[in-house]
Amino acid sequence: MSTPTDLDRVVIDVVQRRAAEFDVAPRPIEQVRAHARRRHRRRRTLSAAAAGLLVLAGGVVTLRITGRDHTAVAGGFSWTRIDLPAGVEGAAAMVAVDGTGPFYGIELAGPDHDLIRVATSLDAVSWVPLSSLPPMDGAEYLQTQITASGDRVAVVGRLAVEHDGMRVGTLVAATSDDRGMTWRMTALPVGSTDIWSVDVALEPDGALVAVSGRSATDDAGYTSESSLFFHVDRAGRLAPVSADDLPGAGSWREVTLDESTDGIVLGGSAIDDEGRTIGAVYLQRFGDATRSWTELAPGAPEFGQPLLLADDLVFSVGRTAASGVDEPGVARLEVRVASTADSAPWRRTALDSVLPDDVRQRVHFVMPVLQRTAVEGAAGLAFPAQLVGRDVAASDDNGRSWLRDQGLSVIQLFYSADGTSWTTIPLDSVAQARVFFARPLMRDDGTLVVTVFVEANSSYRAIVLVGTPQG
Amino acid sequence: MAASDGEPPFPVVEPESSTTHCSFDDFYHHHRASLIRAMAVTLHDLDAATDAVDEALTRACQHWPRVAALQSPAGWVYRVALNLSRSRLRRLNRRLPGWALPVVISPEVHPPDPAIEQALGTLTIDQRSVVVCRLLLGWSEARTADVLGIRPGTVKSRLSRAISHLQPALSHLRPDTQEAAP
Repeated sequence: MSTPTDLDRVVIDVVQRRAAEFDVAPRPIEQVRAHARRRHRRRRTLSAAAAGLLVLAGGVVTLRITGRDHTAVAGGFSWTRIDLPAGVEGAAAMVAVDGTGPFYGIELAGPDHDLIRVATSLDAVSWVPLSSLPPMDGAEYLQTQITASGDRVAVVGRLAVEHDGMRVGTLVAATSDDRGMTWRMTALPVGSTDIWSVDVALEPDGALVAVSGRSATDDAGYTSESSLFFHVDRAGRLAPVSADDLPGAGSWREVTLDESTDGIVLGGSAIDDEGRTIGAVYLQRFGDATRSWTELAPGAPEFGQPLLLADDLVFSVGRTAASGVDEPGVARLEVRVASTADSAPWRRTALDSVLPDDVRQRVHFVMPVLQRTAVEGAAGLAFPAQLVGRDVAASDDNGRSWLRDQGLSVIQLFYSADGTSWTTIPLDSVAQARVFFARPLMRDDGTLVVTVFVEANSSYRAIVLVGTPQG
Repeated sequence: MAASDGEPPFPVVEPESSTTHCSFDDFYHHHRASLIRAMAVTLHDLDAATDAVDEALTRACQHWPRVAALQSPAGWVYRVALNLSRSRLRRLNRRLPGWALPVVISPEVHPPDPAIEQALGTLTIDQRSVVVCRLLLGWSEARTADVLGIRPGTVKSRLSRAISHLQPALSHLRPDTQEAAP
């Protein structure tokens, strides 16, 4: 038996005292039993597993995007606000656009979030319902991603199903070749208790789906990390993608995909055979199933930060000299540009003129978007940044500060049409609500669509802000 | 019984063998509060800990015969709650790239020693979960490794690192230090 040292005893005493300080509120066991019974009944009513292929007719439904509540002018844009239904959570509402084409929007619907509704719009303001993706095995959709290319649209929905007592995440991919009217749905064989990130990109012969998360390894639900890639062809057939040629193979985490007419860029974090960290690879399209991955310039983009592909350039907006993702406050924001044609280092341009010292030190996240027809010099670039105030009481002696949930944050949108002159737009004032998160999208004509999530009664409500360039 | 893998120096909760194969009611009443406190120390967040443990207990209730037959039902609940919490933090991070994993100190809790609180707060969740399993819940290295899905050697090294990390903040509490003080 190990002999405890004095320090061990002190640590034990400290941990015990710390634990004893927490005042645990009682919860009647009847509530737990009732909750468990309700879940059990729901599981029994589920239909048999619907793995495999489903071909759906496009049923037209009423999309509950409710129209134009507010208009405002800010930052050279005329803004129209569109409210999505209450209860739409997190990343559930998404908008996609390709080039100058129509917008496609999805939202979760149904009493148990068991439907994905799809709509389209020419201006992102007036939406026409297209179809809905029906329930899969009675499961609840948790998260969605959408992408569009020409007449083709692809959606990935993350589902939650009960399996052996665990609420297991699984995935369904839906692809459409007729602008979202009809869909082929394919269940992806992902047995995971914890899917961290999912993204989808369209290829000439189908769709590429990247999944990273934790895979169940035993009956008790203990897990390990892994990443998987799937190809769904244009007939809806599923084919696992060999990761043999992919640098980093199955070690990718927090995968993001972005696409152009030439290829797909995959960002995230992976370890190659030599133990090096990889942050981005590029897949050039050859028009067939042949895949040739190329590692981009060394120097990994920030963890979880999306990459933007336009022509042969890859853009990222990130932080530099930050001492860790656990820490709000950064030293500097910069635009990073790499080329898919060579492995030259990322070109970095500091955004000091956009974010003065007192502002950039409070930036928590950025989510950039490009106007892809004007990419040189980072023109046509916009990003919302969340600025978080410091709570002095929660700062330690090393200058690190921890965020408290005290409503200290504000989100501003930074936009530049030429890469040098920047406009700041406070999203909170445009949305007329406290913004929790914002996701931008820009069409080639400069129309800026920002899906924002606002807090309302302890849940999140999605609002779409459509900015039309003035003049 | 030999404790070759290093029994915990001070088991602070009753050995789980006394509750194995008991009814869910008994398990619930016996373990809920201690598991929530353990998870609260792990997460530094009582509300999140309560939500996670209650959800894990609901799942245990749904499949109690199977869970009860496990070697460590409490370990299963702790692990499921930890997975749920990590998943929640991951989702939060996913929505907010670069967002801090917030160390939220419940306003009603006033730690008596800010230095200790701060030192505990600077441990990683992986380190805190090992500290909690070994020193608060009193589980052996083998059980801790099984519950956390890591190797026993990793348990040992994480605990060692965590204690080393805490040492500066706790040195004034050591008996020899206190005796030596003027």
